[in-house]
Amino acid sequence: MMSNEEREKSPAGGAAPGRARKAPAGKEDWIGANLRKVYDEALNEPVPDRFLSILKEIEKKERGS
Amino acid sequence: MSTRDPHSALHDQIVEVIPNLRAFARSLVSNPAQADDLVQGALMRALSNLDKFEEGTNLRAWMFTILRNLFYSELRKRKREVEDADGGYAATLSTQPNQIASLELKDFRKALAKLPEEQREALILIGASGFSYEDAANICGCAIGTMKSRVNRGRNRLADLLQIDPASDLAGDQAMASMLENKQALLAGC
Repeated sequence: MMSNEEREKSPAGGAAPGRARKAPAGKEDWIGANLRKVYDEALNEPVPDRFLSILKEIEKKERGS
Repeated sequence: MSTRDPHSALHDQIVEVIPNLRAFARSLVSNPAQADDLVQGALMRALSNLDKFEEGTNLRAWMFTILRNLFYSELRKRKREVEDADGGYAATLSTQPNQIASLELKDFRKALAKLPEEQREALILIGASGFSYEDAANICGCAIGTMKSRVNRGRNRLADLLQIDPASDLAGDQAMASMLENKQALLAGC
Protein backbone atom coordinates (compact mmCIF):
# COMPACT_ATOMS: atom_id res chain seq x y z
CA MET A 1 0.00 0.00 0.00
CA MET A 2 1.44 3.31 -1.02
CA SER A 3 1.29 6.35 1.17
CA ASN A 4 0.17 9.61 -0.31
CA GLU A 5 3.67 10.98 0.08
CA GLU A 6 4.94 8.24 -2.18
CA ARG A 7 2.29 8.97 -4.71
CA GLU A 8 3.28 12.60 -4.78
CA LYS A 9 6.82 11.81 -5.78
CA SER A 10 6.14 10.93 -9.39
CA PRO A 11 7.20 13.52 -11.93
CA ALA A 12 4.40 15.92 -12.72
CA GLY A 13 4.84 15.59 -16.46
CA GLY A 14 3.74 18.29 -18.88
CA ALA A 15 0.33 19.31 -17.71
CA ALA A 16 -1.80 21.27 -20.11
CA PRO A 17 -2.29 24.92 -19.29
CA GLY A 18 -5.16 25.81 -17.05
CA ARG A 19 -5.02 22.62 -15.06
CA ALA A 20 -4.30 22.50 -11.38
CA ARG A 21 -0.88 20.91 -11.25
CA LYS A 22 -0.87 19.66 -7.76
CA ALA A 23 -3.33 19.40 -4.95
CA PRO A 24 -2.18 19.20 -1.37
CA ALA A 25 -1.23 15.67 -0.38
CA GLY A 26 -4.00 13.59 1.11
CA LYS A 27 -7.06 14.90 -0.64
CA GLU A 28 -5.62 14.80 -4.11
CA ASP A 29 -7.63 13.03 -6.76
CA TRP A 30 -4.96 10.48 -7.47
CA ILE A 31 -6.81 8.68 -10.24
CA GLY A 32 -7.61 11.95 -11.99
CA ALA A 33 -4.01 13.09 -11.76
CA ASN A 34 -2.73 9.86 -13.27
CA LEU A 35 -5.32 9.88 -16.04
CA ARG A 36 -4.07 13.32 -17.01
CA LYS A 37 -0.45 12.17 -16.85
CA VAL A 38 -1.15 9.27 -19.19
CA TYR A 39 -3.05 11.53 -21.55
CA ASP A 40 -0.64 14.45 -21.42
CA GLU A 41 2.30 12.23 -22.17
CA ALA A 42 0.86 11.46 -25.60
CA LEU A 43 -0.56 14.97 -25.99
CA ASN A 44 2.85 16.57 -25.61
CA GLU A 45 4.59 14.42 -28.16
CA PRO A 46 5.56 16.28 -31.32
CA VAL A 47 3.07 15.74 -34.14
CA PRO A 48 4.53 13.50 -36.86
CA ASP A 49 5.07 15.21 -40.20
CA ARG A 50 2.84 12.78 -42.01
CA PHE A 51 -0.26 14.35 -40.50
CA LEU A 52 0.75 17.82 -41.51
CA SER A 53 1.61 16.71 -45.02
CA ILE A 54 -1.87 15.21 -45.44
CA LEU A 55 -3.32 18.64 -44.73
CA LYS A 56 -0.84 20.41 -46.96
CA GLU A 57 -1.57 18.09 -49.84
CA ILE A 58 -5.30 18.66 -49.55
CA GLU A 59 -4.82 22.42 -49.43
CA LYS A 60 -2.64 22.22 -52.52
CA LYS A 61 -5.29 20.22 -54.35
CA GLU A 62 -8.00 22.68 -53.38
CA ARG A 63 -5.97 25.64 -54.54
CA GLY A 64 -5.10 23.88 -57.77
CA SER A 65 -8.67 23.13 -58.73
CA MET B 1 -10.39 35.12 -54.87
CA SER B 2 -8.88 37.42 -52.26
CA THR B 3 -10.52 35.96 -49.18
CA ARG B 4 -8.87 33.04 -47.55
CA ASP B 5 -10.26 29.65 -48.31
CA PRO B 6 -12.58 28.90 -45.39
CA HIS B 7 -11.24 25.39 -45.39
CA SER B 8 -7.75 26.67 -44.61
CA ALA B 9 -8.97 28.29 -41.41
CA LEU B 10 -10.59 25.02 -40.45
CA HIS B 11 -7.39 23.21 -41.33
CA ASP B 12 -5.53 25.35 -38.82
CA GLN B 13 -8.00 24.32 -36.15
CA ILE B 14 -7.69 20.71 -37.19
CA VAL B 15 -3.92 20.89 -36.75
CA GLU B 16 -4.51 22.05 -33.20
CA VAL B 17 -6.76 19.07 -32.51
CA ILE B 18 -4.27 16.48 -33.79
CA PRO B 19 -2.30 16.16 -30.51
CA ASN B 20 -5.59 15.58 -28.68
CA LEU B 21 -6.67 13.00 -31.22
CA ARG B 22 -3.36 11.19 -30.78
CA ALA B 23 -3.70 11.14 -27.03
CA PHE B 24 -7.26 9.84 -27.27
CA ALA B 25 -6.26 7.23 -29.85
CA ARG B 26 -3.52 6.05 -27.52
CA SER B 27 -6.11 5.32 -24.88
CA LEU B 28 -8.07 3.19 -27.33
CA VAL B 29 -5.10 1.47 -29.00
CA SER B 30 -2.03 0.98 -26.86
CA ASN B 31 0.40 0.41 -29.72
CA PRO B 32 1.60 3.91 -30.68
CA ALA B 33 2.03 3.13 -34.38
CA GLN B 34 -1.44 1.63 -34.61
CA ALA B 35 -2.84 4.56 -32.67
CA ASP B 36 -1.32 6.93 -35.20
CA ASP B 37 -2.77 4.91 -38.07
CA LEU B 38 -6.12 5.40 -36.44
CA VAL B 39 -5.46 9.14 -36.18
CA GLN B 40 -4.51 9.25 -39.83
CA GLY B 41 -7.69 7.42 -40.82
CA ALA B 42 -9.78 9.78 -38.73
CA LEU B 43 -8.00 12.79 -40.17
CA MET B 44 -8.68 11.67 -43.74
CA ARG B 45 -12.29 10.98 -42.90
CA ALA B 46 -12.70 14.37 -41.24
CA LEU B 47 -11.13 16.18 -44.17
CA SER B 48 -13.32 14.48 -46.72
CA ASN B 49 -16.39 15.27 -44.62
CA LEU B 50 -15.54 18.84 -43.73
CA ASP B 51 -18.72 20.07 -45.42
CA LYS B 52 -20.68 18.10 -42.82
CA PHE B 53 -19.04 19.92 -39.94
CA GLU B 54 -21.30 22.62 -38.57
CA GLU B 55 -19.31 25.77 -38.16
CA GLY B 56 -19.38 27.04 -34.59
CA THR B 57 -19.83 23.61 -33.05
CA ASN B 58 -17.08 21.80 -31.21
CA LEU B 59 -14.51 20.69 -33.79
CA ARG B 60 -12.56 18.69 -31.24
CA ALA B 61 -15.67 16.73 -30.22
CA TRP B 62 -16.56 16.18 -33.88
CA MET B 63 -13.13 14.77 -34.66
CA PHE B 64 -13.10 12.62 -31.53
CA THR B 65 -16.44 11.18 -32.65
CA ILE B 66 -15.00 10.34 -36.07
CA LEU B 67 -11.95 8.70 -34.56
CA ARG B 68 -14.01 6.71 -32.12
CA ASN B 69 -16.44 5.52 -34.78
CA LEU B 70 -13.53 4.47 -36.95
CA PHE B 71 -11.95 2.62 -34.05
CA TYR B 72 -15.09 0.66 -33.24
CA SER B 73 -15.88 -0.18 -36.83
CA GLU B 74 -12.35 -1.51 -37.29
CA LEU B 75 -12.58 -3.35 -34.00
CA ARG B 76 -15.78 -5.05 -35.11
CA LYS B 77 -14.18 -5.99 -38.39
CA ARG B 78 -11.16 -7.44 -36.64
CA LYS B 79 -13.28 -9.30 -34.11
CA ARG B 80 -15.11 -10.96 -36.95
CA GLU B 81 -11.82 -11.97 -38.48
CA VAL B 82 -10.16 -13.24 -35.33
CA GLU B 83 -12.25 -14.32 -32.43
CA ASP B 84 -9.73 -13.20 -29.88
CA ALA B 85 -11.23 -12.13 -26.62
CA ASP B 86 -8.04 -11.18 -24.84
CA GLY B 87 -5.86 -9.93 -27.64
CA GLY B 88 -6.98 -6.36 -27.19
CA TYR B 89 -5.51 -3.34 -25.53
CA ALA B 90 -3.89 -5.01 -22.55
CA ALA B 91 -2.06 -7.60 -24.65
CA THR B 92 -0.20 -4.95 -26.65
CA LEU B 93 0.79 -2.85 -23.66
CA SER B 94 4.31 -4.24 -23.63
CA THR B 95 4.97 -2.50 -26.93
CA GLN B 96 4.79 0.92 -25.30
CA PRO B 97 7.90 2.94 -26.06
CA ASN B 98 10.32 3.59 -23.28
CA GLN B 99 8.80 6.24 -21.17
CA ILE B 100 10.22 8.17 -18.34
CA ALA B 101 7.45 6.86 -16.21
CA SER B 102 7.54 6.19 -12.56
CA LEU B 103 6.73 2.72 -11.40
CA GLU B 104 3.40 3.89 -10.08
CA LEU B 105 2.43 5.35 -13.44
CA LYS B 106 3.27 2.02 -15.04
CA ASP B 107 1.03 0.29 -12.54
CA PHE B 108 -1.66 2.81 -13.24
CA ARG B 109 -1.36 2.26 -16.97
CA LYS B 110 -1.61 -1.49 -16.50
CA ALA B 111 -4.71 -1.13 -14.39
CA LEU B 112 -6.24 1.26 -16.91
CA ALA B 113 -5.59 -1.27 -19.66
CA LYS B 114 -7.62 -3.86 -17.76
CA LEU B 115 -10.77 -1.78 -17.88
CA PRO B 116 -13.43 -2.43 -20.49
CA GLU B 117 -13.00 -0.07 -23.44
CA GLU B 118 -16.09 1.94 -22.68
CA GLN B 119 -14.97 2.67 -19.13
CA ARG B 120 -11.45 3.54 -20.21
CA GLU B 121 -12.61 5.95 -22.87
CA ALA B 122 -15.12 7.52 -20.49
CA LEU B 123 -12.38 8.14 -17.93
CA ILE B 124 -10.07 9.61 -20.54
CA LEU B 125 -12.71 11.82 -22.13
CA ILE B 126 -13.97 13.18 -18.82
CA GLY B 127 -10.93 12.90 -16.60
CA ALA B 128 -8.14 13.81 -18.99
CA SER B 129 -9.27 15.48 -22.18
CA GLY B 130 -11.59 17.79 -20.34
CA PHE B 131 -14.86 17.17 -22.16
CA SER B 132 -18.12 17.85 -20.42
CA TYR B 133 -20.35 14.87 -19.69
CA GLU B 134 -22.65 16.12 -22.39
CA ASP B 135 -19.91 16.26 -25.04
CA ALA B 136 -18.51 12.91 -23.98
CA ALA B 137 -21.97 11.35 -24.16
CA ASN B 138 -22.38 12.77 -27.66
CA ILE B 139 -18.99 11.45 -28.73
CA CYS B 140 -19.85 7.98 -27.46
CA GLY B 141 -23.45 8.06 -28.60
CA CYS B 142 -24.85 7.33 -25.16
CA ALA B 143 -26.91 9.07 -22.51
CA ILE B 144 -25.27 11.41 -20.02
CA GLY B 145 -26.30 9.11 -17.19
CA THR B 146 -24.62 6.19 -18.94
CA MET B 147 -21.44 8.23 -19.26
CA LYS B 148 -21.52 9.06 -15.57
CA SER B 149 -21.98 5.47 -14.56
CA ARG B 150 -19.11 4.39 -16.83
CA VAL B 151 -16.86 6.95 -15.20
CA ASN B 152 -17.91 5.83 -11.73
CA ARG B 153 -17.52 2.15 -12.49
CA GLY B 154 -14.17 2.82 -14.14
CA ARG B 155 -12.93 4.75 -11.13
CA ASN B 156 -14.08 2.13 -8.70
CA ARG B 157 -12.49 -0.62 -10.72
CA LEU B 158 -9.22 1.31 -10.90
CA ALA B 159 -9.29 1.90 -7.17
CA ASP B 160 -9.86 -1.84 -6.67
CA LEU B 161 -7.06 -2.84 -9.00
CA LEU B 162 -4.62 -0.37 -7.48
CA GLN B 163 -5.85 -0.94 -3.96
CA ILE B 164 -6.20 2.71 -3.28
CA ASP B 165 -7.39 3.67 0.11
CA PRO B 166 -10.96 4.72 -0.59
CA ALA B 167 -10.75 7.33 2.16
CA SER B 168 -8.30 9.42 0.18
CA ASP B 169 -9.98 9.01 -3.14
CA LEU B 170 -13.69 8.72 -2.62
CA ALA B 171 -13.75 12.08 -0.92
CA GLY B 172 -13.06 13.61 -4.29
CA ASP B 173 -15.56 11.31 -5.93
CA GLN B 174 -18.28 12.31 -3.58
CA ALA B 175 -17.66 15.99 -4.16
CA MET B 176 -17.77 15.26 -7.87
CA ALA B 177 -20.97 13.25 -7.52
CA SER B 178 -22.80 16.05 -5.79
CA MET B 179 -21.53 18.48 -8.40
CA LEU B 180 -22.83 16.19 -11.09
CA GLU B 181 -26.19 15.88 -9.44
CA ASN B 182 -26.51 19.63 -9.59
CA LYS B 183 -25.62 19.61 -13.22
CA GLN B 184 -28.05 16.82 -13.95
CA ALA B 185 -30.80 18.75 -12.25
CA LEU B 186 -30.00 21.68 -14.50
CA LEU B 187 -29.98 19.50 -17.58
CA ALA B 188 -33.21 17.81 -16.61
CA GLY B 189 -34.86 21.19 -16.55
CA CYS B 190 -34.34 21.78 -20.24
